[in-house]
Amino acid sequence: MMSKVVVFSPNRYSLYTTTVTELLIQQGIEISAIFVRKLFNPDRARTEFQRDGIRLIKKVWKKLILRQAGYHVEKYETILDLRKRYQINTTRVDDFQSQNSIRVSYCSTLNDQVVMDGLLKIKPDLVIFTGGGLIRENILGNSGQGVLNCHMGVLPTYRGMDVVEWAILEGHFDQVGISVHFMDSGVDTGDILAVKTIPTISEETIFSLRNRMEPIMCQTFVDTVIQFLNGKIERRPQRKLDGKQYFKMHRELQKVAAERLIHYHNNRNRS
Amino acid sequence: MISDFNFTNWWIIISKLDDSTLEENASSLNHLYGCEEYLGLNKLRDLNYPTLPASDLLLKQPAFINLEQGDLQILRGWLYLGENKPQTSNWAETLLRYAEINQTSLMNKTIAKFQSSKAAWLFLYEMIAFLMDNYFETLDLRFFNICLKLIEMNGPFNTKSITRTLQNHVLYPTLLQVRILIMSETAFRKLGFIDS
Repeated sequence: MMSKVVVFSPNRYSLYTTTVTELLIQQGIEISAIFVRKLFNPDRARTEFQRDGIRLIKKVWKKLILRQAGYHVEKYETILDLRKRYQINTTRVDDFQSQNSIRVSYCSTLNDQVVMDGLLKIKPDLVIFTGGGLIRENILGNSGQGVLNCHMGVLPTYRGMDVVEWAILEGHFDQVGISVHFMDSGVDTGDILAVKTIPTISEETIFSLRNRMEPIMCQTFVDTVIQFLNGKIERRPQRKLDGKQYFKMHRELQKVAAERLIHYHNNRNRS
Repeated sequence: MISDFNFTNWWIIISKLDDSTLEENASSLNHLYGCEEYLGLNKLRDLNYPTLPASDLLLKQPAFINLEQGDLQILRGWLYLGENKPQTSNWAETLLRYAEINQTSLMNKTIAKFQSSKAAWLFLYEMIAFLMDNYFETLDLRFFNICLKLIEMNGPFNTKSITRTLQNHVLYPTLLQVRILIMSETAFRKLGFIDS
């Protein structure tokens, strides 16, 4: 496969980036470059705090401090189990430069000139987004067929943030899942390539459900990229009215969603 | 949240308000979507919905910056009367989005818009009331979600201060706060009830 693929990463320690990139490499995809957002940046801290509030601390704790140590042995497959299964040992994005000779460039935001210059030089066929904030139109427009994202929600219904929780709160337990889609100027409104629903399982909490979804996201994302590059799937446009944009869920509603998940399984077990 | 708060004392004071005060503040208390009954409070005597003044709201582009406090009363009126539904829904969606995205700076932006913190608070209470009514009308939980966030924007509503104000002199913004709290409490209890 001769397609040129570029990866966007939210930070050098991202487990998600390293897993997806390694799986792509194992599948014979040529990664031309990885653009990584610099971690310590006051503007980034401010923007992310505005978006995530106090939850940013939890996110930093889990993703940057605990990292692999934050996962335990579970009944379900975690992202660590997936990495073990595919013998993925890369823990930092920089390792791809030394081990695979992939150019790794750092930027303050993924809209920086360094990214733009890189894209103009590489002329990629596709960009894989593994996190890192909003992408401006000039970057989107110079990303070959586009920038692909794997969203933790079923599109087009559930766009935006906390959509696992929102689907549960609204009682749409069959609408928990992931979607691979192209990014555009809207929030999760770009063309869809694949949607996979993930049924919730007994005794599962929202936290464990999200953890269980992580490896499925990585695999579905990679499988979809390969199928798309092989011309086996087509873009499916979304209509604005087919879904709604959801925002960060208030903690009291999160509690209600968590209770709903427990009740849903209790009722199902009883029946 | 003020879950299990007893609204009875507030309601006794409100029920004893004279006709003219009630009529003056009708917009803050009428059509509570059955919330007062749900919480076991006596239904207030029917308050006529204030006649909606002539407005250029239909000509305005839905945007936070274009909105005045009176417009929000009109939007609540339209919602209740089922008039201009597409426009009302468009305004609700626009305000929801704006409030979510600008949540941390909303207070400052509102003060800058009105050049007065008193007017800004009144506007924000009116906006929460509209978004809350929109939740009860559509049962779209995104609207309840933003209401919860806006209620806590500057710390939760101070129930002691509301009681003091109600006991001394009734003020429209205080009645709006009572409305918002009664409706949010009902919404929570109903969400819990569905599950149990």
